[in-house]
Amino acid sequence: MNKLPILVKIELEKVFHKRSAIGIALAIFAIQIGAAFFEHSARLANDDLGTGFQVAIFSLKICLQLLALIVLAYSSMTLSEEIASGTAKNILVRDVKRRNFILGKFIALVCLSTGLVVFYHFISLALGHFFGGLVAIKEGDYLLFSASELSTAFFGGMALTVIAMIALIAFGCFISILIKGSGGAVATAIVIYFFMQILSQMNLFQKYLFTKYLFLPIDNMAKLVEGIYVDWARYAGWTIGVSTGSVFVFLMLSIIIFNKRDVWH
Amino acid sequence: MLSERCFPLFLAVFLFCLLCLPLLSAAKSNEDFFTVYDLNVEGDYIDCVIEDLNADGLNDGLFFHAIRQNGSISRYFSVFYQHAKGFNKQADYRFEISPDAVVYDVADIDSTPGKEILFFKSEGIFYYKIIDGRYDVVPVLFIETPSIFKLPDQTFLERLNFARDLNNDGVEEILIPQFHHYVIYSKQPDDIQPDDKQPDDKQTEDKPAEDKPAAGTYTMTATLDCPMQNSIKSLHGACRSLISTFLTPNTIIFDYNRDQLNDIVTVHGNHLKVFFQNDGGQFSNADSAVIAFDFDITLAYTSMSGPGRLHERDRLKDKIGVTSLTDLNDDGLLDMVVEKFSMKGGALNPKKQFQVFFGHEDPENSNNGGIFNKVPDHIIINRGLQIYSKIVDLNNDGKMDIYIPIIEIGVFNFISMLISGDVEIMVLWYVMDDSGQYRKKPDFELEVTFELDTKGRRFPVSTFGGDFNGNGRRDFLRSQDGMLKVHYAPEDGVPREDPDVEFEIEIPNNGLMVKPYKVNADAKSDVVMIFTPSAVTEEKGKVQILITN
Repeated sequence: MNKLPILVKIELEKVFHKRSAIGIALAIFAIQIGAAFFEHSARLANDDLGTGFQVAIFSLKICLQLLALIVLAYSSMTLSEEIASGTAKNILVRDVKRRNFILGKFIALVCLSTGLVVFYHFISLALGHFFGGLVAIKEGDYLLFSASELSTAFFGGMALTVIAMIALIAFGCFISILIKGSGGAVATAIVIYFFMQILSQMNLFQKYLFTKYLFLPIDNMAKLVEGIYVDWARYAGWTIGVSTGSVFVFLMLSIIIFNKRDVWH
Repeated sequence: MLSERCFPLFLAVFLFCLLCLPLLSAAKSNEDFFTVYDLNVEGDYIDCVIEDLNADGLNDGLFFHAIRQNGSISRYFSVFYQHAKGFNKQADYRFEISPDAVVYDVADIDSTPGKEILFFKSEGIFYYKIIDGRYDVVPVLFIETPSIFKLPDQTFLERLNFARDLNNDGVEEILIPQFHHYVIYSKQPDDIQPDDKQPDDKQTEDKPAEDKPAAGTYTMTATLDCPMQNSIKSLHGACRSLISTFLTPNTIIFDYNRDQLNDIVTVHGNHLKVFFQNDGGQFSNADSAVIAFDFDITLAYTSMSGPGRLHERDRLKDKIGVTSLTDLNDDGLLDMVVEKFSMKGGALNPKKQFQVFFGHEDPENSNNGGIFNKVPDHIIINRGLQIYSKIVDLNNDGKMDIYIPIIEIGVFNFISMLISGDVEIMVLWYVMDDSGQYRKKPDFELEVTFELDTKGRRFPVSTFGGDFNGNGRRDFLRSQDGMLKVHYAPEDGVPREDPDVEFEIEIPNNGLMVKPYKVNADAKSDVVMIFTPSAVTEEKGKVQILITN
């Protein structure tokens, strides 16, 4: 019998029972609202109200940067914590395959992060609607992008962010398998993550690192709401390709390493 | 057995082919592409004119240069005549320019063969005339007239195109900027008195007392209401001074009302003024129109003439201004590109808008030519450091395409640039389609590498002015890795990253001093490179003429 759905369900239940996880999600939500107020006041002060899309994107960008760090920390500590505490042993003795043990955690984290990404996107839309309205971007009377064009790009960007976030989770799981102890795993993951962010600004590497695509959709959306044209199709292909490739590589490595690890002693 | 014997041979051939692959794919490196002539023109602030000065059918070189000796500066013209074998290394002759000369131009205004060098002094226009095959150093008074040109810059002499053929009769008219007017002098048959040609009443008021046609037949034919702008800056401190800058309006000669006669379009603070040419080849205030705008059209860039030739702008404020007035969509009406420049997003992340206003026929008065909508017909917005956007016809369809180079600078990009010395420039091409519109999306994006000088002393070559294969289309000339690189205008309209020609040569630090000219008689453009010394460079002044073979 395939125990993967049960494992996923258990993992999700664990998260929902943890008050700290919900607390962090709510803290990000509060920061998002604060960012929207800040952006709106700054625009008021500069006599440049713009549209609600600009407020929405500003608040969402801050929110996603925080969320990425939280998701990375959570995914990199989850396996190492259970291996260190011996919980992994209890699960594995119940005829659970090691592969399913990793995949169960991974899928649960993917569901959770997807839910949060979608949630914060919709919250930013609501904030945008409240601060200026989700209307077209114009320069004087010249229509740069219609509201429907911006909405399409917004939801397209949301889907791409979800995909890039899955690669981040796979990366976190890989570090979690690699490093013993949750503290060390989180620290290592964050250091490597920032190093990859630096590399992803360099022309030589940037195309091939999933970290470039993590915030690319929101950055592109930020350009769009300023009236700058963005070639979505081109970026979408690279985002999907590199993120999928990264997920595959990190998961395969995680499974191979975990299969060879002695968790009993 | 045979295959075992052949294997090493096969491997050797394969490796050889592999090694040759980059060479095959590289651009054609052609040492014979240009014939190089070194000209001795030492000194500061070299400026050149390539025209047929002595009417022998070959273009010659006239070089202005200033030489510092014993603490004083003398200004010279060096003349290099082109002969069948090219140019001599030494100037055919040089002569010192009148110390009172303010701006100059080259035109054929005299009955003698060859072109004259005209220049403004505070008294009026003078010229150097060719006598016995060389310019006589004694200037001749051409027109005694007041103008805004009163005092010279002793270190430089600016060329101002004030002698222009406005009515396509093959004879240049003279445009004289005065503080409140543009005065036009035209060549008239000797039997016509100046007063017979007065187009309006204002002329008699401004006409100088000694208004006699000094060169025989030039007479004042129009006094156009076209005031200069003035900008005064006060400098404080021990060297307190006041700078008063007179700004001549940019003057464009264009058939504005599509009557097959060139009109004069002047660009003012918030309007264009068009002086229409009548059937008699005359201009007047009565036959003019004002095209008003709701915004200031001259604020985007303020060019400073003089040795530095800097572009000055207030970087802290949004600026808007016309950067191009030309017929973009080939409908015969003048179109306008307005640039809006903002640094609200940070000094490293400026935002630039290109607003395209197409000229539309005035339904109420079709004789007055085009008018512009209040709303732009197209807007292109970009971020990043944008340099030298240009309007050229990329695909030779008669319609103008927009070329915008952009440098996107992040912190790590910037570090990478400083370490490698190269800067990656993204070139965006917006091609006008058959319906005369630009798309929101750039039609082509090209990544080009330029050398970056960390001390800011070097500026790369980047110009679309020349046609180096003589096919009638403008090619792209640039510099990289100590080479001049030519990208021929693509037949299919799709620009390519790989150059068609690479020519290794020393290139001036200031790439703006590398310009294409038609020097010899063939259809191909040639290149003139001016090496100008400055306080921060070690270059000695010299000139190289590169004739395309």
